[in-house]
Amino acid sequence: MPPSESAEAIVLRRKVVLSFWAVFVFLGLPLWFHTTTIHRTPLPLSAIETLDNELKDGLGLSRDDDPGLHITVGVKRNCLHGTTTLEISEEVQRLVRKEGTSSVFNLELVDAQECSGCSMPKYTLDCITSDRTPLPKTISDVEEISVYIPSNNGSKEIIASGLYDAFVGDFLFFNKHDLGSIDRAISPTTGIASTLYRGATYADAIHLSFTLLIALDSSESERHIEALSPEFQTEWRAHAEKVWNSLKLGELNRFVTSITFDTDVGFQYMTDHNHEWARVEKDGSPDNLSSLLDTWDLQPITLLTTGANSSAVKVLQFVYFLPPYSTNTKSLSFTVGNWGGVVMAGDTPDLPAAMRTFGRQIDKLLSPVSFSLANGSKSRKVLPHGHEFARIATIMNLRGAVETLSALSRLVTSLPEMAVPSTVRDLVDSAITEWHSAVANLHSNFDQAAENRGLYHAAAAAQFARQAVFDKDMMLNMFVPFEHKIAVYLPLLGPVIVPLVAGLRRVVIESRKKEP
Amino acid sequence: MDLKTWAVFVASAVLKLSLNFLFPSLHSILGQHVEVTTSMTSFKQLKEGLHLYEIGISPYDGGVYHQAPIFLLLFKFLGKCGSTSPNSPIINVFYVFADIITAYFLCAISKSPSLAKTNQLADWVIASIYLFNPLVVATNIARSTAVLSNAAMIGSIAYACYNWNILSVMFLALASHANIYSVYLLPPFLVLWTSTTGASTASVIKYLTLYIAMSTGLASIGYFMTGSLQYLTATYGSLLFFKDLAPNMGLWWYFFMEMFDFFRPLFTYIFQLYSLIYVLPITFRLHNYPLMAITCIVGMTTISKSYPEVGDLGVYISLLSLFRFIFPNVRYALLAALVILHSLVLAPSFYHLWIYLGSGNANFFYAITLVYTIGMTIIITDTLRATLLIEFQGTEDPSKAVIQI
Repeated sequence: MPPSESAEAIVLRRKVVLSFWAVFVFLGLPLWFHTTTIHRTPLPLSAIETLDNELKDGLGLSRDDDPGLHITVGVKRNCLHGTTTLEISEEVQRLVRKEGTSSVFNLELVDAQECSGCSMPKYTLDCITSDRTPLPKTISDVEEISVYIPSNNGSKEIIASGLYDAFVGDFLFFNKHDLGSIDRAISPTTGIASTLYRGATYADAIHLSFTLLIALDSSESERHIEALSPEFQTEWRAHAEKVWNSLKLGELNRFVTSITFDTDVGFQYMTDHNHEWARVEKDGSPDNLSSLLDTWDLQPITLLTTGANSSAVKVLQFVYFLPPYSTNTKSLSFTVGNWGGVVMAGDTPDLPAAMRTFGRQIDKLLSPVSFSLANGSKSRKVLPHGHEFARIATIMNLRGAVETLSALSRLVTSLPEMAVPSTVRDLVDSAITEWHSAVANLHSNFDQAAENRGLYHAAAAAQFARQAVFDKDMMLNMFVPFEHKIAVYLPLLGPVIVPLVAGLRRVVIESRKKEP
Repeated sequence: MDLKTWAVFVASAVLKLSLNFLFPSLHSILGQHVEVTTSMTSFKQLKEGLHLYEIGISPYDGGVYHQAPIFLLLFKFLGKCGSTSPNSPIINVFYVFADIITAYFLCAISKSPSLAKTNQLADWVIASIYLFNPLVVATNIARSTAVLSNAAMIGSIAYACYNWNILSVMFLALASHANIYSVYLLPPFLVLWTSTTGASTASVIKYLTLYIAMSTGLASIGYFMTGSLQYLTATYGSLLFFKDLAPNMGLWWYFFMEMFDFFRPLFTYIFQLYSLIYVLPITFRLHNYPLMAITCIVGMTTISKSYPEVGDLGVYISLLSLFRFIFPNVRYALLAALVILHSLVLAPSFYHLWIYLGSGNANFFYAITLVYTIGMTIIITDTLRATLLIEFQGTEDPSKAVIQI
């Protein structure tokens, strides 16, 4: 038997064991709890839901006169045999979901004959039953959309498909009043949006450049001789100036800082008879125009790339091209989105006709319009692209922000073991604040400066929302399952707890022996 | 102090000065070795911090300087007397003087009343064990600031042994200011300070208050020097929370290189707690031998601190040399010595293989640090066992057989 311990030794041992336990219990356990607890900062989930509802309600904007938000399509009766506007909307929505795209406009389908109390639809949908080839996807006339149906009773799928094809690439999402709480939409690729965007997008300054381009080769023609004369070139400049004056572009200065123009005369010497322009003349397709344009050493375009308040100068080029030799050419014209226009002269140069063509091209590209204001008056003529661009982009960003925040809300709710750092809460709060600032600026009665600020705030809201979702501290903690924690705690604490428990057990046994 | 001891002092001074003179780049070579200095004691980083301080920028802004502000004051003063270049005469003399002072304190401890009754080694032997210890010499030549914090700690022990408690408190506060782990020595020091007057609550509170006041005073010096308390996170925060992840002779760095961020706070606290948890039990168990308790805690801190150096082992061995009476009961001295020797020889080689040649990896170096820790653990447990055995033999009838457990 080991020698009996003195009372002092027992007390000492007790102190030693209890001092170990004191550190373990009063320091170790609280620290263990503090360092391994999943911290979930409460997020303003109700505020996020409120944002979503506000967006679905149209942000309090007057849809009738807001080009950035609402498009009404009046569906003619011949499309509604055996179907309703609601069913067509639902079918288009199904196609939207299938494509998985998103956009911003609010598409409302109304019966064209029964649209009482609503403003005149911007577009009408007509269903044609003849065997004419349907209009191409690139629509020049945006006011009427025709869909070909094989019989008098067009199915909703065919009509919806035609409507979808017509508007795909445009900024559409579906009115919740038609479809409940559906909020998917389409991204701009073709259709009206591409028409709008192939036009001159917003810029602080627009420069119109009129170029007389004369292609020369070894052959001579009268029109070339005439074109080379100073008198012809003077006349060219004079006509260009007339176009400029006729545009009355001073009214557009509300949204652009300046519109300027210049005229130029250029010469292109060609030695090879196999010219690109010959193919252009034959096919009449604008796809070949790019290669034709590449052969001309013209000033590159400064394109708008970011934001509605970019200071880039938008250059539109209008080229009057005289082919190199006399052939049975007819006058051709092309409007090239975001670039300008080309008029190819026929046998006889006709400057006035060319200038009229240029005028139409400019009008198509810039398309200044005026809007109805809340007080019933009409706004000044504005570049709708600049105005719509800001509003469209703002609403797209707001939509993106709300979708992202809603996804975060669902993620946090469904994963209780996911940490939510305080940084995420700060980002969500910032996103909501920016969201409200953006919406406030949208109510600015078409003040472009305010709308530009709104675009900035909306982009910031979307950015904050994305940062909140992809916060690395939140995501990284997801990859530590509970069993991994056990695997870490056991070898760390197991060897320590064994002697502590053994020591405590001995102390307890000794104290129990003493009690009787 | 006899002539032999002074001769040892002079010889060590000549040795260190000669090494610095003959091999001027030796301090730089040793200063780059992670075994000898760490980012918490590096002279190079001290110079950078000093330069920032002299041009009016807070040295704690850049995350480079992690040492106590008092070193800035000290070396700024030394710089005015000469140059702060590691090989400058003033720095050479200063570091040599610091080591000699430490050796002097060790000799004083060995002759103190608490150890006078035991069979002690001669002063010159104790001084030689410290001054000619290669680990201590390397630390000194590398200009590690651990030399100064160790000097303050041993000075505190020396003054406590002679009941100059106020000075002892002051030196301990200084040592704690330079190296936060010296705070762990407070409980055994309290036992030591109250050993003559008795461990009454009033005396404990008195020394505790004195210690806190002096520590606060030193901390406020840092505040007035830097203009904010930011230096606390840069110095003590870096040490306690292991912010500067770099290889060293400790156990921490490998864990923190590998673990998930989720567990980092837990491991930091667990590792710090592991070094703290032994303080009170050792103090209670060795309350009759507070010097041995201090030595044990110094040893435990050496293996469990976040940025250990080989100089810490040198100090621990020097403190052990004061307890000659336990040597006959130590059983694993050869084993421990060989383990430590092998680890100290292989550590630089494996580090070189890993970092410079690229033919090794972190596992090589960490394995050696584990071996080093095992060696230290053997020493600590063996000396502790020897101490408890002597205590047992002193309280029991020597004629009875001692039960080996």
